Amino acid sequence: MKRRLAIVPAYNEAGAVGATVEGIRRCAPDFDVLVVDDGSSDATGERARVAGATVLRLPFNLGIGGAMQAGYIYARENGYEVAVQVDGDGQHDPRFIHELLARLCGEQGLNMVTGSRFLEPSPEGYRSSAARRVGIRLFSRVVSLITRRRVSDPTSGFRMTDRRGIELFARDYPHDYPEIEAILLMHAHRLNSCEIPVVMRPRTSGSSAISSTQSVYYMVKVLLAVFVALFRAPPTAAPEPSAGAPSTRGEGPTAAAVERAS
Amino acid sequence: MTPLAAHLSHAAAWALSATSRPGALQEELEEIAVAVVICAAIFELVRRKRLMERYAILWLVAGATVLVLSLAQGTIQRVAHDAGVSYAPSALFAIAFLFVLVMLVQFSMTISRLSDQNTLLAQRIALLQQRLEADHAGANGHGPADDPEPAASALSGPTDPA
Repeated sequence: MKRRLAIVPAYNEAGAVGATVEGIRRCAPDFDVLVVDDGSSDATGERARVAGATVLRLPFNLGIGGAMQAGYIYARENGYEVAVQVDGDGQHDPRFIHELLARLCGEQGLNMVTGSRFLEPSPEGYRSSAARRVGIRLFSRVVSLITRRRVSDPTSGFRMTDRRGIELFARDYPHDYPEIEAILLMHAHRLNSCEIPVVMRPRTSGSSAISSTQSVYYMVKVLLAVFVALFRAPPTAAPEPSAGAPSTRGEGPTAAAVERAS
Repeated sequence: MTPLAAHLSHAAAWALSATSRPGALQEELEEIAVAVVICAAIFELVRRKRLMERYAILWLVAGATVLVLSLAQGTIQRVAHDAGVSYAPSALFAIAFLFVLVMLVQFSMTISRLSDQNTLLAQRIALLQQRLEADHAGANGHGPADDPEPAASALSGPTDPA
């Protein structure tokens, strides 16, 4: 079995998910492809299966956070060493998967690599609408300030994690709009992340999970989550061997051993 | 007369007026009836298992409070006076509002917990179903069944839900 997994969250993406799966299998044949069908009412799951993906079919719509966490739980339980998120709508170009992988494997102590649309000085490709870029820039400032590391594209879902990241996200993943909070979660657990430049494409079908009316709610909700996260007690466990499980404190090596064995 | 004595006499006058007004007895009986109905309704809901004991407790406390207030006439007036509220019913509303607020926060917490558990269940169902189908495909010779777990094989029923 392959040790690397591409997780594709998809909600009513029957028009794009097949091409996405085929693209991943063509560009990154060393990755298994898992499509998390987030309670779609169309043929998303079937198209993904036909295209050669393993399909997790959620019984109802959980939103991107719940869908991605299901993917990370699958990755944890099936022993994958690397997991990359590739959105089902075709925005993420699978040709960059190996660039993400090269960076993740090439740098010691790196746990997550995100593909950023804004790292190149003169970026090409899809960079979201002007209004959204204002919001993204705001979040970029906030997240960079908190993590003391430049985060140019905190809303990018095109990211790859190692085993420690998989274990963390399988245990605890943010709810509705998880990308920004996931970076802070990584930071709180003293896992390291970085960005590499990628080019994204406009979605090929379907519609964004966030409509313009929801954008305000998105901003408020994520700002609240970021603010509250600042006041959470930092995880006490040492980063080794499995990061940040609060239960390991006081129970010494036993809890850690149990976690490793499971 | 010192201010303190004035306060006390005010309170006494209020307490007296509450019990000695004409029609006060009937009002008191009505209040007791309301309290008894609340408590009886909650009890009945718990008996029919339409309401869990955990959530019945706050409502029973509310019914008991109404009962106490109706039995001990003038309590509200005294509390209002001690708290510096000049219009006694305002104090009653404030207490009732506080109670409703506590109740709503408790409900919000409950909803948050339930939706968390709901998410976990949905994820687990999807994972189990996938494993079941993979085992099925493996058993039918369509492909290799990788690490068949005892938990999954124990769960496979006579018919495949998919």
